[in-house]
Amino acid sequence: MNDINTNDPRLTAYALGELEDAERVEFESLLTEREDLRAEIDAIRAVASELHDELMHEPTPALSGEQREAIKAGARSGSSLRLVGEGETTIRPAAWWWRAGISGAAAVLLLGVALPLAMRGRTSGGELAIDKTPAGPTGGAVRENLAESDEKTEGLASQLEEATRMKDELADARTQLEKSSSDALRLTPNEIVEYPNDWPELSLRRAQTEPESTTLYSISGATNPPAANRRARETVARTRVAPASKSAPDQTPAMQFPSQSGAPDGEAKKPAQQQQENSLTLFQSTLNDDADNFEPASRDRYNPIVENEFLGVAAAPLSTFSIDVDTASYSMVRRQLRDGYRPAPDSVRLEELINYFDYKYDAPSPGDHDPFRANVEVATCPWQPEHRLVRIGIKGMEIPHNDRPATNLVFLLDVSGSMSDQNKLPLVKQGLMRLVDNLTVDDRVAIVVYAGASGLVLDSTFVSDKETILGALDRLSAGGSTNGGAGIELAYKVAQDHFIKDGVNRVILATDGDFNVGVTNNGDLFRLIEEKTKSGVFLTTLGFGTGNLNDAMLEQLADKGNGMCAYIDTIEEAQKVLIDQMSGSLVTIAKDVKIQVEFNPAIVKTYRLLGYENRALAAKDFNDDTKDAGEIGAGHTVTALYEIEPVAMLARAEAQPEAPTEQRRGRDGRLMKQAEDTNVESAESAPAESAVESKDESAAPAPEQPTVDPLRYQAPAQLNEIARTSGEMLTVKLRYKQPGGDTSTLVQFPVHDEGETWDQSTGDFKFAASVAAFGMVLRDSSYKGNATFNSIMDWARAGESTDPHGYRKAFVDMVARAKQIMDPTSD
Amino acid sequence: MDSSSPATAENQWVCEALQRYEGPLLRYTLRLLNGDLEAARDVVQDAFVKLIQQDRSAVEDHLAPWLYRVCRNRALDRIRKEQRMQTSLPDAPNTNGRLGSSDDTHREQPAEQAQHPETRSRLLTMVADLPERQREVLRLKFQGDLSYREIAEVMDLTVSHVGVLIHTGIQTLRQRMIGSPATARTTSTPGT
Repeated sequence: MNDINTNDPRLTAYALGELEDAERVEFESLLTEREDLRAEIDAIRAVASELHDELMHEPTPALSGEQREAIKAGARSGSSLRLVGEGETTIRPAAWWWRAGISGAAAVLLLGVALPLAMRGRTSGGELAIDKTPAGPTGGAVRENLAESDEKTEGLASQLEEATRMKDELADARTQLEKSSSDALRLTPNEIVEYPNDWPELSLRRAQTEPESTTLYSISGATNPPAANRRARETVARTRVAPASKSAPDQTPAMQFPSQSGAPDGEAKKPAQQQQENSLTLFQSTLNDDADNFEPASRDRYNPIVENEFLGVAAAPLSTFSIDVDTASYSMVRRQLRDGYRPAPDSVRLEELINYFDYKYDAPSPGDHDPFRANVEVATCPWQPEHRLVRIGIKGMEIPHNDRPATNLVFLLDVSGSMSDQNKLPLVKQGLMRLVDNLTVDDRVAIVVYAGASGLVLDSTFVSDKETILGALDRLSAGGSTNGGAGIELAYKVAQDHFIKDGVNRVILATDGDFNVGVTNNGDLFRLIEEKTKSGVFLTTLGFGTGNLNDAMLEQLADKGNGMCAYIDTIEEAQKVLIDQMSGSLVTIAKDVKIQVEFNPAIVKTYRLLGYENRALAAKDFNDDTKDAGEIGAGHTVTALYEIEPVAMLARAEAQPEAPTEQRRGRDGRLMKQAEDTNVESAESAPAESAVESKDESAAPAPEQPTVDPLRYQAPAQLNEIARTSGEMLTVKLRYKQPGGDTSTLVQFPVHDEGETWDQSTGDFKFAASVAAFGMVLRDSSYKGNATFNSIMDWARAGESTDPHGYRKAFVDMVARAKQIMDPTSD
Repeated sequence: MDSSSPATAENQWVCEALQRYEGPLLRYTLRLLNGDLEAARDVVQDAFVKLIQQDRSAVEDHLAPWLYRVCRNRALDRIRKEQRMQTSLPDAPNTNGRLGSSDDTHREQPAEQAQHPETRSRLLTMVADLPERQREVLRLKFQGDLSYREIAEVMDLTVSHVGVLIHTGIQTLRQRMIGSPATARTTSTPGT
């Protein structure tokens, strides 16, 4: 190996850690004698490092929300079947046809043009023909073919664009089909049939009988479907994907749906699409192309949020969710507004905005059995005055600063190159130095960094040796890429090595991005953290900076790690999270805290939980102690709001409940969900869903409260004695575990509505309501009612009374800022 | 919090793969497809749909290269398809060549250079000037964080060939950086 020269590729391989062990050892011994090669390797590393930094700063595109959800839905279904991916182009003509409002004859013509061309453009497939099914043309191919063949047809291109967009929705539909069918069903593109007077049928066959057929059954508009389709159609109907309406297009009621991504509300959508939007979960794209003012080219990643809907009490009497003390969303919204952008809707998590603030709820007394106390207030809903707003507030036991148990902290710090920005590593250091200043001499701190390699910068050190800790923090500098996996493992190891029994043992992770080097995938990482959490070491995640923030991942890590997630954009925020709320951030007083609310149908007609979308639990998970949920820190307050549509006074007097399968619509006309819980989407619910569809057929066009015929076979459920006579509005049930425990304790209490008006409500109630309304306005939620930036500021000012740290005042300023950016013209 | 049903947990790995690789795969595929975002999204979606059908144990230990490879093959299929349809164009590249199998053409270069010309650093401009396959390996290495072995799997090359391409690419960049003292953004890089 002595003949190595400076242009040997092994130099680069060595510099990048790509040499095999044996060769590397040999190489290293050689390097001790060859200064020129060492210099060469340093130079290569310098270029590599810079290249890495530059490339990682390039914008990262994202899938559309629909695409992402289609994949997730496919993953959930656990199917090993392949539904042919490209076939949906053949069904698209229905979509453009309807949208464009052209005649059935024209649609057939269009099909006649599109398909032969599409066939011509089809390739033999290669990768595409995964299971030897004749693969249809791709959307792109059709687009080009058509554009090529008929460039002069006005509007056709845009219709095709629209059709392409619908591919995603159809992908969803396919996934649903897959999920609900236990048979080996296959959706073959060429069997997709078009009926001008009988909505498009998705034809399904058993895979075993699948022929090589490429016939298009009804391209000419035949009205009698082949017999083979009949069973398929039934299957489709059961699986909720098929359009319910059998009426001709022009008789189809024009129903209104809440605006999606800014699409005009009044635009009539074709039934198949409505059905999908209605029965599949609604996912809003994270890329909102229509709206302006969003931060351009940001690579910050947020999980999509689908807002909770109004649910009918008769059909869904229970609402179950995990508590959440995260506050990251609030600081991220603030950061975007401060930078002059409209916050990305998916970065606005209502519960995190509300829980950013402390509320003066009663804390449990020292002798109390439970480590927290819940209190509930019911008053007028400010943005929808005929509704009631229920605030459930939970206050964790306070632990005075000097009673805090001995603390063993490991700071796990991302020192990769991108952390060098002023609002990243320097802010991390500043914040942690303040934290160390506030610890006591018995506490210990260790520092682990991760970048190209992870390492222990400071082994666990008592805070009595504060200078050593502060010095180590001070000397940190950024450089290199990120290997979070190894770093997190090391951090947990250090924490476990110095574990303090009955003390606080916690890893505090600070990063601006994710863990992007090494073999570790997220699954392994989450499993690792879940495993380590059992040892009693909890995790706090702190997000910094912008541009590459993996908010979704940090939140999930904190969830798995029994910890909280915060986003730190300023030193003031660091002060709030790390010092002012130090006890809460460090000391967990209850874990796996779940809330289940049962509503009394004699009082409550429909309800909507504000926020907590990604914390929803199935009703049965409430009593299941193996299901993980959120933690409460010392002194933390957690607030949940329900908006309630009361049963009309007259009906209440008669105490008549509604039929269990009766359909209701929210004031926006959207169908109420039938399932008890958003998480429970099972085959058993299919019959109920087909009931939904048959109702739809007879639905009159767009009344506020469409009526439903009385059921022929079922009598309305009877209310029991308690429902009719107790006057209780709802019952709150809470389950929690002690921080070291494995079995949960149940707390429950009923709540009455005392008829409190808005003016009579407490300042905390007013303020929490104003924050919730702000979130809805930022998201342009269909549930925002009459809330405007101005009314939000009024409500918030009315609740500003208790504001020791000035956070509420700052909130009002932020609302004014949002108004400036999003709605500068109104006064 | 874990609100998943058993079926969800079973396939959680796909969702995790989606979360981890969605952005990087799109970024990579977008380059291959000359900046056609919709096409790149289709390709990446298809790759994940295909992933769902895989036996987890068969792909898990080489998940990243598997995904990149599927995206690459599909993107190349698309390009081939387009080329067939555009054979009448005067400067159509050779039609049987899959991207990168003919020697280092500069086919993608205009698209790569056209993107954000004003915000792009000198270094990235230099990357755009490199031959196609060098560009691709550098991106897979430093943007996709793949190892030599994984890149070899993605691009159907030998490991040593990958080593040569990366080495050559870096050396070229280094010489050009020295040649142009105005090189920007060296702040976070020790030693330059």
